[in-house]
Amino acid sequence: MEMIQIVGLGLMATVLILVVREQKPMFAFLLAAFTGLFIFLYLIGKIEIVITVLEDLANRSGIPSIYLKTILKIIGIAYIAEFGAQIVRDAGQESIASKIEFAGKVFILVMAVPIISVIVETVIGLLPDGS
Amino acid sequence: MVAWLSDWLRDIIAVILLAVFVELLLPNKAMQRYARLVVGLFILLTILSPILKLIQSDIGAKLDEGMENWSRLAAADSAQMTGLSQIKQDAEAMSAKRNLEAAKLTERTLEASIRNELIERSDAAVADVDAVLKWVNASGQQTPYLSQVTVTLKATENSSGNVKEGATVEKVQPVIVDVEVEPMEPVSPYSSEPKVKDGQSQAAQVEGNWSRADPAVTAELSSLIAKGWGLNQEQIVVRQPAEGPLQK
Repeated sequence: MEMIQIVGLGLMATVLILVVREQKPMFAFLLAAFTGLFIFLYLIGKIEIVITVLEDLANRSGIPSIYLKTILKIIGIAYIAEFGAQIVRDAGQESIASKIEFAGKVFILVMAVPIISVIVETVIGLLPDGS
Repeated sequence: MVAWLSDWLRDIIAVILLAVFVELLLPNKAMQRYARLVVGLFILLTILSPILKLIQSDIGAKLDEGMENWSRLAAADSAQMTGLSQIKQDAEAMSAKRNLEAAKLTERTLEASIRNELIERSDAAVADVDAVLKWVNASGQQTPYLSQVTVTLKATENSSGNVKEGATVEKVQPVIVDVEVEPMEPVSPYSSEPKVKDGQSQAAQVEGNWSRADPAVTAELSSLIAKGWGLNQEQIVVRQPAEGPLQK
């Protein structure tokens, strides 16, 4: 049922945007942005269920909580960057959108730095000491 | 051994399941590549965990530390806008500091005025006056009151301890007479200190280098102070250096 609601909202918004775009491109953009925002916020609540399942899984299997925290951060960063980039792209600013995505990628990579440093240290420790 | 193995396998399976979920959740392909790298590192870490445990004791702690560092950095970046509570805290700290400064200034002013008064009204060669302010909470406002005044007399060459008019200060061997005003016995919480046991208002502090000053001088000074600043005579202690000849 919710799926139909969301699709209906999207279709309505699309038709309205097509009508308005000829006269006022500005309002067309605003309409698109707000529709996107609404659907995004609506779905954020649904994602919470999935995240709860993930947390449950992590707790039960006893993997370190830092893994789950990092992974959730990655998901959050990815979603926010993607959403912002799409809105900006709708407005026609392709270059700014790609910068936003780039920022998201950089932040995700920064997440990996502690892990990489631990692994590198371990590998170096594995190597026999130079004679 | 089997238990350990099953633990390890369970960890790996859980992390891989997590990774699959994350892949599904991620919004687009571009992000997926990067997220896959991080998740892959996690899987690698989990698979390596027995070796890691062998080599270094606490990878978990190290990883935690790195993550903490990262999040602290991120927080520091985003915390440039101070919140209202932060501003309030700052304001409180500032006003406390200002109150402290004001109290210090008041103390200094009081000391100077007491000193001037003593020098004017008496023959005593007052070297230093030390006033101690206490705070009392009156109708929500912190108001200061004078709890203790210490008067230090200049050293005189007169071994009798009486500071006589025109007494010259011996250059070689100065004698310092301290008149100390004791804290109000009934008011101050540390009245239990046995400073004024004998009831003599001018009882000198015998601790340290100080001893009693001459009673006459003490009486004169303490009555002056008591009259001028509304202090109890019992709060007044006269002391002088122990090596001074004024000690009785």
